[in-house]
Amino acid sequence: MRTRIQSFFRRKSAAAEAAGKPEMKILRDGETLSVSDIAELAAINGKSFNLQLSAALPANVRHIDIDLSQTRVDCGGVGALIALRNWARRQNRDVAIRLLNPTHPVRRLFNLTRMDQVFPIERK
Amino acid sequence: MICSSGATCRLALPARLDAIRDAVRGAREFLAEQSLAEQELTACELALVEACNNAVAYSHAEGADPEVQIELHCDATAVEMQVIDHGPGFEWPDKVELPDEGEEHGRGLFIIQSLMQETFYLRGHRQNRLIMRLARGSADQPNHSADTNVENPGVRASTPAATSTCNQPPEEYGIASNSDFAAGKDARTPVGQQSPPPQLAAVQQKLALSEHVIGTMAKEICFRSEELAAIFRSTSELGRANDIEAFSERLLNDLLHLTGADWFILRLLPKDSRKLVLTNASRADLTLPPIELIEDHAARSAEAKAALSRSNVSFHPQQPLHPEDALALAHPQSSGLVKPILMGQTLLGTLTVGRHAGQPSFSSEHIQVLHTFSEFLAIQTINIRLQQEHLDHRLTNRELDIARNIQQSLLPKSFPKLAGYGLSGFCRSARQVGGDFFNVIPVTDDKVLLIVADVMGKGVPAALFAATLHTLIRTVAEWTHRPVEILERVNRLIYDELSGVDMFITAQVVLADTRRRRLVVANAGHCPLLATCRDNTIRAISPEGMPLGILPDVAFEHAVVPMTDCSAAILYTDGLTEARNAHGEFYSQERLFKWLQQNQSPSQTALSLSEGLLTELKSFQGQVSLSDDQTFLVLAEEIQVPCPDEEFAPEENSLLHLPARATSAV
Repeated sequence: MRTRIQSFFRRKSAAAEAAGKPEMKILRDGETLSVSDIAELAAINGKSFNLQLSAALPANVRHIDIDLSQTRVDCGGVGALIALRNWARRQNRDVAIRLLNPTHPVRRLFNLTRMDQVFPIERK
Repeated sequence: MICSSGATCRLALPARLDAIRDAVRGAREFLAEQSLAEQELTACELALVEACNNAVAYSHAEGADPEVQIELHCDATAVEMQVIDHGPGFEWPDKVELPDEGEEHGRGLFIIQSLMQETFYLRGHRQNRLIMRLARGSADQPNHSADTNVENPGVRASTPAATSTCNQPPEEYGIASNSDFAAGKDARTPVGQQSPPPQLAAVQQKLALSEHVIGTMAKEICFRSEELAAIFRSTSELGRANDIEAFSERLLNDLLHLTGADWFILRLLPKDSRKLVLTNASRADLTLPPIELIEDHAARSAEAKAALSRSNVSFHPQQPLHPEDALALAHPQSSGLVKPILMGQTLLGTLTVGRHAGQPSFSSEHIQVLHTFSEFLAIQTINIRLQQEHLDHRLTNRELDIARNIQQSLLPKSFPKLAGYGLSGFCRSARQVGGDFFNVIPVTDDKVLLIVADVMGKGVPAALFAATLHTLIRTVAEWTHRPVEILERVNRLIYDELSGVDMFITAQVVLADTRRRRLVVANAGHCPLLATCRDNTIRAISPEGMPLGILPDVAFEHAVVPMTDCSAAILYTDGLTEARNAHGEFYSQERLFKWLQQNQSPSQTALSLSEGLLTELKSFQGQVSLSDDQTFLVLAEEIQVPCPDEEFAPEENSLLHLPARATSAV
């Protein structure tokens, strides 16, 4: 039996130090806010994703398009998307959130968790 | 090509969310090397991420090992992933369901069960194991990714193909579910069961898993039994052994056996020292220099780092020791752990255990054993230190008792006879020995020298100088009986020793001449001599003179007091006037004056005056203990009365009295 033992510990790199803060691009076009270039949406950074997005959300935005073509997502990330939607509803905002271009694994996750019934999931 | 017996990969990661991504990437790489299909890789990756998220979320407990382990095993038929954490664990719900769409949490277990064919959660004492299994080829089924069965999320959609490959475990495994094992709860919660008819392959898989679980438990029981036996052996020695080297040798050899370690190094920190000293090592010939505990050394020494940070420091090929680290020089290419030995927050030393190159790292059970054994070392180290301190204390007390007896023997055991006068003296030390003394040196039949001295300070240092001064004065008095000359000569003789330790002595020397009826008084910075006069006044006589030891050459003055004018003279040390009562008040010279005025009378003898003064002091001080030595010497005119010729043996604290002899008129 081949046995391989590996040990992964925190590497003190700029990337590790920046872990927990999703670096993303937010662009506004009229009533639509486009979010892209998210490397990861997961348990570690879901809360800060929401904080960043909610802080950057102008009052008259009606659509939020989140491009997930570069993004890894886990259930924590799904929870963050739900939290964003819940937040928008508490603000009495009629904001529509679309999930764009999820990768195959992410799409699979959305299907399993029925996110396809909560958010429109489209290719664009 | 996969080896038919399978391939295994073990990973360890700190129990932090930011460590999960790298670990899962590594796991995926390993599984990709085993030629898993993309669907299977995705399923495993997703399930593993969620399992690790849970492990990190539930792993934080006081004392828990902050590490999560992943074990992957892959063969031609199946993939098994295990995620192990060391926290309190959690209760696996009877039914894993997808939460409401508005819920932000609670989807992880559902995802795991949806993607994996079998899921077991073993919750144990400080170790929890989530086992996920996926039959290879099952993820390729068209409906594998479209799991929507909420009632039984582990069940794939019922297509013949899916059923044939996604074999569901039977209701009954033949293994007790939710049964408790050993100490603590080790509830085994089989999940994902379904009622379709059992298939041979699934039963075989279950049996293999059961054997694995039972084997693991048997190993754990054996391990714990050995650990307990070692603990009992060590417990029996606690408090009895007084040799830390021998004790640690036995204890740490047991530790090597229990943990499978190849070597150990024990360093202890001597009391009041800042250097870790090698005390014991598995290699008898090992010699290592002490390690000073300063921050600079922490970068080059794992032992110093562990000691200064009061936390474990591990080392292994991915996190090697500094090339100059003594551990690296003693055991190159080893992996292991340095543990600080603590009693509370007090650092007692460090214990390092290690394995040679190529060996796996210590498991959490091994680290727990290391923790237990280091506590034993801490207890025994403290025991031995306390025993030694007790012994030292007893020896010191014994020596002080001897010194006290010696000092008592320096006090006069009887007074010379002085016609018409009586003498009485008292000396009490604040500690076992002190710096006060008095002496009475006969010069002629009608002359005596009265000496009272007070060495600065208390205890042994003052007592040593008091003994020296006593001898010097007796010696100098052989050549001169003039008080001023005595003080001048003694000062010159003792100056170097006193100034070398920044000490000084106050002293008073009085020549009592009963023939010429006068007192000649010389004073070296001492309290004034108090003379009770016949007109009921108290005179304080204090001729000029510096304390001994201040300057090498000092000129002293003298004063002459006619004895016809006074009925008694008292020499004393400031321990009397500086005695305190319960209210913090000093007795003071004023009180002493007042008391003498009230108590002086022709009928008072030296003894009665002494006893009265002693009663007065005790009454004032109450239960307050002495802060300074107390000494006084009384010379009193006494009416000549016949009395038995007896001398009282000196009592404790040297209260002496010699009755006046009916030999000459006053």
